[in-house]
Amino acid sequence: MRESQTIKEFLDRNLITVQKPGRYVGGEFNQIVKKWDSVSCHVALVFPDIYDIGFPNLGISILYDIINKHDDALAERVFAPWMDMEKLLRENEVPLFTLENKKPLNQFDLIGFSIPYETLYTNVLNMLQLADLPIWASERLASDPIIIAGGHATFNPEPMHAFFDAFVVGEGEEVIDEIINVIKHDKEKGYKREQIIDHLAMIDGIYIPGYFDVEYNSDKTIRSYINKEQPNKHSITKRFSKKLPTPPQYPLVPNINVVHDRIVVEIMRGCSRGCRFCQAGMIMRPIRERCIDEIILSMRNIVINTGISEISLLSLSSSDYTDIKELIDKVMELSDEFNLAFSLPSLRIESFNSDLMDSLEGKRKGNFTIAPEAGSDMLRSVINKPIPNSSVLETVQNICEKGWNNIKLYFMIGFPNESMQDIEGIVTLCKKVNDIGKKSNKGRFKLHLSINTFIPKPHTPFEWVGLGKKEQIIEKTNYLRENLKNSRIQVDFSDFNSSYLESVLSRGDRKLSKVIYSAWENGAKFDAWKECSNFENWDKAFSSNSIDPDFYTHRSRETTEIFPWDHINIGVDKEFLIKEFDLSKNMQTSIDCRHECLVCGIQTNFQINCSKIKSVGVEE
Amino acid sequence: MRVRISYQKRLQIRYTSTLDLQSIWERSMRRASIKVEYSKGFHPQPRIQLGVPLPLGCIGLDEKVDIWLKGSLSIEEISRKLQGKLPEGLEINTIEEIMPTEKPLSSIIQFSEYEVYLLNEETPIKDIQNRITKVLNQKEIIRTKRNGKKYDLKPLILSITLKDDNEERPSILIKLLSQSNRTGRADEVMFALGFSITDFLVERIGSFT
Repeated sequence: MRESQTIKEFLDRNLITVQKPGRYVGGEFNQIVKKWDSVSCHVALVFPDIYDIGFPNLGISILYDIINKHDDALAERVFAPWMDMEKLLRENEVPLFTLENKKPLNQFDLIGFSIPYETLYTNVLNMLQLADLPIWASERLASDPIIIAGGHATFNPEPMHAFFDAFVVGEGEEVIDEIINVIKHDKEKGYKREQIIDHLAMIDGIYIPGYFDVEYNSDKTIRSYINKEQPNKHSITKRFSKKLPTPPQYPLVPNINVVHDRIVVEIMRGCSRGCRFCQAGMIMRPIRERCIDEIILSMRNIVINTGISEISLLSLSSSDYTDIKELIDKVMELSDEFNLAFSLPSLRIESFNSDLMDSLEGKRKGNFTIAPEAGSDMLRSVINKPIPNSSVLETVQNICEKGWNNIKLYFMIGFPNESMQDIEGIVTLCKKVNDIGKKSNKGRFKLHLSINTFIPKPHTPFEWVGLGKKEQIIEKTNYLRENLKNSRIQVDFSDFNSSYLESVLSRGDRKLSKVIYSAWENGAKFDAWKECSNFENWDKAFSSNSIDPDFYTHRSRETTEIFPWDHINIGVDKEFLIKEFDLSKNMQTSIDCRHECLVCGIQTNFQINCSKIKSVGVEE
Repeated sequence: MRVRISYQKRLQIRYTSTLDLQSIWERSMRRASIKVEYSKGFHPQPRIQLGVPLPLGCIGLDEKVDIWLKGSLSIEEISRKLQGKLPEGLEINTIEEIMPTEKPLSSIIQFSEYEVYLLNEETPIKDIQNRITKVLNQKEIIRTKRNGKKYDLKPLILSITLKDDNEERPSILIKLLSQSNRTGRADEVMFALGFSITDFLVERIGSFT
């Protein structure tokens, strides 16, 4: 109690001196503040970036909703303090606290980090230190909270293995109730921290890094993973919800400006397209659709319960939703009734036809984004996103005629088998798009290119491929810059060092924990922020730990190599990934598996029928 | 119909800027199912007009907002509909219907009154009184705005008085001009009195014509 009081007094006095003090006070409409002593299980949900970025995170808001529905548990939120607040916390020796009850993190039973991308890792360490908690899991004491993590980045948990007591592999909403129940039960029985962790280990989908020993070969690759505690459990299989749970009906409404300040309703999870570079497409299988009635009812409820007038549909590929036309028509009716602004991201041009365009008629036209990814039809076969240039141009023609003036194109460079011809293809395609736009919309047309470095990700058919070499990426970048200048096309490039870092961290093994720690000690934090990223901190960290980062990035691997993430089972068989990899080498495509099963393993491994699972939420 | 709402702004929401407060009101009205009128034009905006901006972090006891509503509702109905629909810290004092032709608040308000609470008790009361007298006797008080421009605070100050009715902590009452182009800030007065930003809490009692 006293601690919360001290924190409140600290805030009263100092908030006025920091940028956007609203980040640290909570009090949003629909916030849930339970009396601390009225529940036995206290969970802190942490997003390791600032409030403005973390607030809209759907994972956090879903878990917040589920946990707070337990009469005997509470969930409170924590975001990373910006530098100015961090300085004040340190100077005043105030521990990191939650927004709801202003409680220090060490008072919680469970701390759950949501980590969607790797460049948040150093922030995790920084926040643990600000919370006055031991950074190394091995140094935590009986009185310390259990600290766990989940989110897409943790599908390779190894680089962060030393900092977490446990990881949730897969969809958090599926397992959170089980975790809460173990903690409530064990706390009541007076079990010790280690025993609670042992009990968590019995939940499917929970990975306890401390249970595993790793042996290495002399070439530094992995020889084996051994589960010391559960010898028969060689791998941890991801959890997923067979039916998408109902979206939170009372999401929080921010009191200050945040990114993506809009209602987001997930309409579908997973994607059947099978783009070979796409990690989400592999780890989020199988496809599950939410029925139109539930989507519309949820939207209506959320509009009424929040008062927010901007809505957006979420999925990996919205236009692949089975009844997308009917859905959009109904969303349009709703948006007329409440005077809403509506955006529909993640459209695939294969399934975005003129019928859909007509449905969107009359709405204010924002950006229209197309992701051809590669510059030539051939390279698009390699990555299995077989959209011919002609379709890209045809779609552009159509949408320009329908009145869209801002087009954004996404490309990646550094794909396997990529040649300079493919890069020239990007230029040619963009110039053609620009010409079409200018012709139909005269002076108002704007083309925006976003060009990222391809990062081979774990659990994808390209996990054996090396990251493009710096010289090559820079040569390609320069070529694009040179040939697109004077074209009035706006071009954004990703920074190579950031891509390199993301590549190391996403493909690293356990040895990287020490590197991450050193980098953080050297001052690395907010690595995802352009103004904060400083590769020198990392360079030093690699050399002081005698780690060659190129081992993780540029090296091409044999398909026989054991990867650091091979004991994390996403339900897609390695044989399938290898088959896809082989097909890519021959520029052969695979079809969308909605039409014919490609036997990726998900059906047999989970004993499910994809077409049934897909519509579970639709038929009920 | 056009209504003028008097409300309090305290607790966490005092850290919400005037700009963000606009959307707080818009969303609150939608939650309350009260239809707000929109401006005409290419990007229609809800017709919600906040009174004199309250600086970030200040408590407001009698803040005002004008809202144009579609159709006609009784004051009781508006009040009932808004119940439980405002974020924590915003509380309604009164709602009144005003003429649609009435001038905007920002153009009629002349001055605001503030009560400033001291968070430290170290400064002796006599000392504070001396500082006030000294400031009031100054010919000019040159301060620098955030944009680097210098200005004279002195003519913006109408009065500064020490309130010491034997309560635990004394407070300072400050009356400042609040016109659209001539507005004094209470924190600036406090700086002139020799206090630092973490020493005090500003409460606006009200703004007057």
